[in-house]
Amino acid sequence: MILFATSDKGGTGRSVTSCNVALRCALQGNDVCYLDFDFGSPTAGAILHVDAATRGLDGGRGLHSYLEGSVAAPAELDLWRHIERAELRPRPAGAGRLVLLPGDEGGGEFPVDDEMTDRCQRLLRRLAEEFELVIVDLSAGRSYALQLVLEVTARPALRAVVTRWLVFHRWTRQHIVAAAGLAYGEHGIVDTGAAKGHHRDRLHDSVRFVRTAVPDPDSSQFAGLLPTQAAWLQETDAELQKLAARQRIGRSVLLGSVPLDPVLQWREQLILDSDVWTLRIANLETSTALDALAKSVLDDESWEGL
Amino acid sequence: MAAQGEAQRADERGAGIIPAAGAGSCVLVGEVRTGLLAHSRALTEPEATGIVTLRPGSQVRVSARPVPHCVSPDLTLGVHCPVPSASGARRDGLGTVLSRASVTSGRLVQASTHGRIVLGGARSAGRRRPWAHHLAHPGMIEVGGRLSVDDLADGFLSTETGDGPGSTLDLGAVCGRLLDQAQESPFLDQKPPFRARRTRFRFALLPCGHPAVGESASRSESAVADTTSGRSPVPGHVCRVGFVVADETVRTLRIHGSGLDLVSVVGLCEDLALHDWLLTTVQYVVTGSRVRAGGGGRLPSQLKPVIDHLLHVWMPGARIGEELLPVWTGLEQRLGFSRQWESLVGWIRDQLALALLASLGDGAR
Ligand SMILES: Nc1ncnc2c1ncn2[C@@H]1O[C@H](COP(=O)(O)OP(=O)(O)OP(=O)(O)O)[C@@H](O)[C@H]1O
Ligand SMILES: [Mg+2]
Repeated sequence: MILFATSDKGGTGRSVTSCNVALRCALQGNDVCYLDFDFGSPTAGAILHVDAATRGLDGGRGLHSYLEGSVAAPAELDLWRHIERAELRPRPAGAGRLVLLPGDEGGGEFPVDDEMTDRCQRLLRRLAEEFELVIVDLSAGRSYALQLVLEVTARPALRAVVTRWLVFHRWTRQHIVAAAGLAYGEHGIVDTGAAKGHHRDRLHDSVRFVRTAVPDPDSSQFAGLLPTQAAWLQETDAELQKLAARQRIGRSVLLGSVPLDPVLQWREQLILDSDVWTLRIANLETSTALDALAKSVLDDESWEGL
Repeated sequence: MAAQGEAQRADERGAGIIPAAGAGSCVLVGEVRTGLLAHSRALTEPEATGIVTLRPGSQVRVSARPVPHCVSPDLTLGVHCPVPSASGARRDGLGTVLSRASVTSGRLVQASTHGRIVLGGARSAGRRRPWAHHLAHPGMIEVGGRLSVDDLADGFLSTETGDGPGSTLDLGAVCGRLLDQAQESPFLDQKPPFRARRTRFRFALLPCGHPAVGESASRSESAVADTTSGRSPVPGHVCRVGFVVADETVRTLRIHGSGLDLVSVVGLCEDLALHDWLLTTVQYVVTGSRVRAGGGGRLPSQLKPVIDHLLHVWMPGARIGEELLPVWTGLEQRLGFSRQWESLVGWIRDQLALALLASLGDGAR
């Protein structure tokens, strides 16, 4: 399966959440690879604690260089040998492969030409052959990267490959409206995809949403709130639920929801068991939510047509 | 890598043998990439033939025994670019390389590309022959200027080369694309029963001679088999073989020999690559299911596709001629390919037997 991670706005938690999902899917025994297609700001290396690629790769072997045609294949980093976190070395027993294809340092957004499209198609098809899950982190909004992957996934060579879409958004009015717009609105994913030859309904059915940094009014985090504050929080949450439903991004298309986490708020990183149990800095709810999200990603039932 | 013109020749190969070291030394270099066909079930012979019919009307070679196997005709690709070199010497090569794709047992797909690099031959700097000359010698690359066979072979086999960046001769890129092309075939449903990584198998055939410096100090799992009984090279003779598992997906093979038929050497390498892939892939699945075994005598779910699709494909050396058998036997002695395979298959059989016993027990209760 190829999973495209998108969001309308920047800074939604798209990269942090999908890196954590990639890790958890691999820990559950699946072969996973992660492509940093956010050419303007390739951050996956930093989130995954890979020192060699904190701001993308230097030396011109990243995804950007590959798509441009200056290398025959992009670099693939075996994360079990590159993640600088002691708990993950050596590769945990039973874990599947976990491979990062980093972007290039100093890359940027770029217009797409035919040859690039061909290269992108070949790469994605090959990775879908070699890995159970291929996660592609796209730049925010209606980017060139989004255009590119909508184009290649409509081609015959990739039509038979299962491709799915995740739209990440924060739990606010503006983010809800923006996420719905990116998926279903004018020049959104479904619109653009249909124009490029995708089957409109099928594409529509392959989109799911992930809510990030969601404050949970019932959690202990908010135990110290004044009764008026707690009531307001409850009310706002209920309103947002209604808004999401009206925007057609309600529960039926919700794949997961990650609570607001103190660690993630301060730093883009992987949340490991040790962060929850030993260091006691991350919340157990965050870890549980990420696990549930990873399970849903790989569970065909959560992607069944509506 | 500059590709200049592409032509196709159905039969005439860059047939020839490696001449004795010295005047116009010659090194055969090549790469084989192996993967699992992107299809839910094994292909029938006509389907497999369709996959490797790379051009309409081209002649595919089919054999049914010992395992079904079909091979595309050779594709000729013109190249004009520097050849690899460990020392970093830039020597231009001009000529053609040959590629072909094959399907084995309706399940495995391979692409291989090779070229016979002639060093310090007639082509002196500044005098370029017409393309017609190169097309008349498919699979031959002439290199002007001085370059030693070891410098070339070391450069080619080192894992740093391949996939650029740079403009050096990159056979891996050529056969990688060919494998992509085969896997993109509309005949395939893109739903393989499990996922498997492709492997890359790089090989070089050099003249018999002094052992290269540092060869026996090769990394990780390696084997150097000395198959010489006497030093004097006789026709069709393999002197030494060095096999290196460079990383999870890259292997290199260095053969020193003389008087060998190049077409057979390429065939040997394809066969080795196929069996190495089988071993690598089954090993990976078995390792995973040892850890994740379901318990209660249930067959670990990952094993089923391996049993269904891969176990019967193992048939080492079946397509290899007499003169090259020492390469297989040498590697067998050092690395025990078949011993490893038998032990994996034995473990899988045990799991099957346990699962059967458990289900019988369930039935009796
Ligand atoms: N569940 C969470 N709780 C608190 N903070 C979070 C959570 N998820 C993400 N964040 C934080 O939000 C910020 C943005 O996250 P991230 O970089 O993943 O977003 P993005 O959508 O990929 O952004 P960009 O568009 O810039 O690539 C980061 O500081 C991250 O740590
Ligand atoms: Mg990001």
